[in-house]
Amino acid sequence: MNLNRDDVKATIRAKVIELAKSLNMDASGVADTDILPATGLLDSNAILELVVWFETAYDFPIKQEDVNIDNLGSIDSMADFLLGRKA
Amino acid sequence: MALPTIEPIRDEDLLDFCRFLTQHLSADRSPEAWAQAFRQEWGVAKPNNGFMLRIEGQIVGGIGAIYAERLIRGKPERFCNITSWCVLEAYRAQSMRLAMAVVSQPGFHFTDLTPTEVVSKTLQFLKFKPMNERHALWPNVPWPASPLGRVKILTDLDRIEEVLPLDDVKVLRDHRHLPWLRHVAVGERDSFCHIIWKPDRLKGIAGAMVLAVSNPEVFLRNKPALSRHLLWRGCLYTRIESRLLPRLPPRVKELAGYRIKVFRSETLTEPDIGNLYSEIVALDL
Repeated sequence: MNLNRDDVKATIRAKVIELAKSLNMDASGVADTDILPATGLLDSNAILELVVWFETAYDFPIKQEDVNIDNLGSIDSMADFLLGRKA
Repeated sequence: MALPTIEPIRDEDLLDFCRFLTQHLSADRSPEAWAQAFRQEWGVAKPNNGFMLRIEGQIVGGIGAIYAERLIRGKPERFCNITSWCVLEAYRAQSMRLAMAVVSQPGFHFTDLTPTEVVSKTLQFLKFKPMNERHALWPNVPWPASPLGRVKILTDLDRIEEVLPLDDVKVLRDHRHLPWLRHVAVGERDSFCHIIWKPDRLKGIAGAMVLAVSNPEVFLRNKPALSRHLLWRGCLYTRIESRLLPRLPPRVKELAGYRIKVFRSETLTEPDIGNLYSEIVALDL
């Protein structure tokens, strides 16, 4: 699968907006570098849901020890992590 | 929706926060009972009592923090123990901001020793490490006393202080005022283990839950004497987290499925993380 970084980020952003909307939050202004847990847009369940979706959407299992804020804390870091794993 | 502000819980805010906990987290515990857990004097200038969410002056969420300085392998280390994380449903999305506010404080090792499954996973996302959650359990049986009475069991707190090394004396002094904790020292000559335990109950059977042992080797060596001592006090079994022991003694049953406690530290490892100086001892759980 050829992955384009901008496409990946757009897809993640759309999912973040969707999850935030379910919490009555507007995440349309979320920046790629924003640390998602610090934005107040997603609660803990939504963060974990985002991780599960990410694994499924891009068909790559994430080891438990890799599920952390360094790898998956922002749209940028999620894209970097995915592209690094798929390289 | 307007975003609530995040504010440190100052001493003057503590009772308001604790009223919030009584109302929304556990009505079984009075605000004053909550507050005393945060008022422990455990050797560190605490920066706050945690963080809370406020909107238009009303508390809508918070996360408590109990601070302590402990000696780990002779070196003072500063701990921040997270507890009582509670956010009103309408402000759930702000819960992670609270956790981020706590763990962004430099200079502390962080623990959460009573997390729910979701909280445990959430904190693991914030780079907390899970610990072995299994418990070791054995029946207390009336073992014969040691030959010539070599092994001594001490329950008088002043007498226990006399036989413990200085570092362990500090631990005893930091916890002896908490009335729900039981203390015993077991050992011989100049080698004693300080044990902190609480009455426990499993399937209606009375037992002892050991929360801390100052010297695990001495504890294991003197397990029969302690077993006999606890049996005399009506405890039919002894239970202890497996991670607090260097190895499982023979003929012990291991139980699984307990809450997965977590910690976050750059330098400490699982064996360094105990139950003391936390809500496990500061509250009558």
